[in-house]
Amino acid sequence: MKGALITLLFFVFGCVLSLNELTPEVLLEHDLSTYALYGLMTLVGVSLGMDEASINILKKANLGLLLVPVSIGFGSIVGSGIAYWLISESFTEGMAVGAGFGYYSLSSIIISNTYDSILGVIALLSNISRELLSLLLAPVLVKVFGKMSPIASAGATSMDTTLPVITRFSGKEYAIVALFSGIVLTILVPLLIPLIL
Amino acid sequence: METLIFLVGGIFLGFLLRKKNRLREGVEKSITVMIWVLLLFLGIAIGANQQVVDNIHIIGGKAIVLTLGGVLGSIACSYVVYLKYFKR
Repeated sequence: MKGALITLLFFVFGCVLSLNELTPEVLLEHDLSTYALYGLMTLVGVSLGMDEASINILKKANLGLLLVPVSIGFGSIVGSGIAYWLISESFTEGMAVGAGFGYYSLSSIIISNTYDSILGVIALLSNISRELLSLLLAPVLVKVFGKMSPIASAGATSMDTTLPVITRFSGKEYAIVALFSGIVLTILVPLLIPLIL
Repeated sequence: METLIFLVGGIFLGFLLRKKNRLREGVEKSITVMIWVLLLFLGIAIGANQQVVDNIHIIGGKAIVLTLGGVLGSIACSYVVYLKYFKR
């Protein structure tokens, strides 16, 4: 949670800077953030390619386990698309925000730099509230929808920030499911968002 | 779309460098810093955008709708998998 707060502070600090018109001219150049995004995507790729521990977990997959992140990812994307369509907005834009799976920093950055900065902010707020909701409602979700539901709600965050809550309320036997699902969904975020938009 | 080229290029590079354990921490730290920098940029772009500032309640409302849609959709779809493969 501390990490999330620090990350958010940078966004808020940026808002405050430009609301008070204190932004240095250089930073307003659009290209700078495009190059920074390319750099970030390369680094994310390197960290995925190097991560043997995650690859070893992925090798444990059987059909049931594999279907967990697949169904969660599909449900998130289509669910967000339908919800957005119901309030007379673009189905595709809804799907792109849904494909953030709670990974708010990366999803908002990709959307704002490659598509539209307002949708990027919507992705930031929506995916942060997804993480918060999952942390707070895990016990309720387990009671109403069963032990898989906190993992679904947590999306990509089930491998780190929401893992402790999930293991507490769904049980230790779901820790590996949560890790696996979170890892797969985390990998899918930078792949799916550019493909959807 | 170009972002995917960088991502895939990075994955190959990372795979080649996977034995270099000392690099790992540096990569993770650089990712965090890059995310901070880009969110700062996003904040700057948003703060300068009067349209966003004036409509923040609408933007927040849309975000909540998307969150609920995504959470309910993912719970519903994974429930089928839960019943078939996990529930005893």
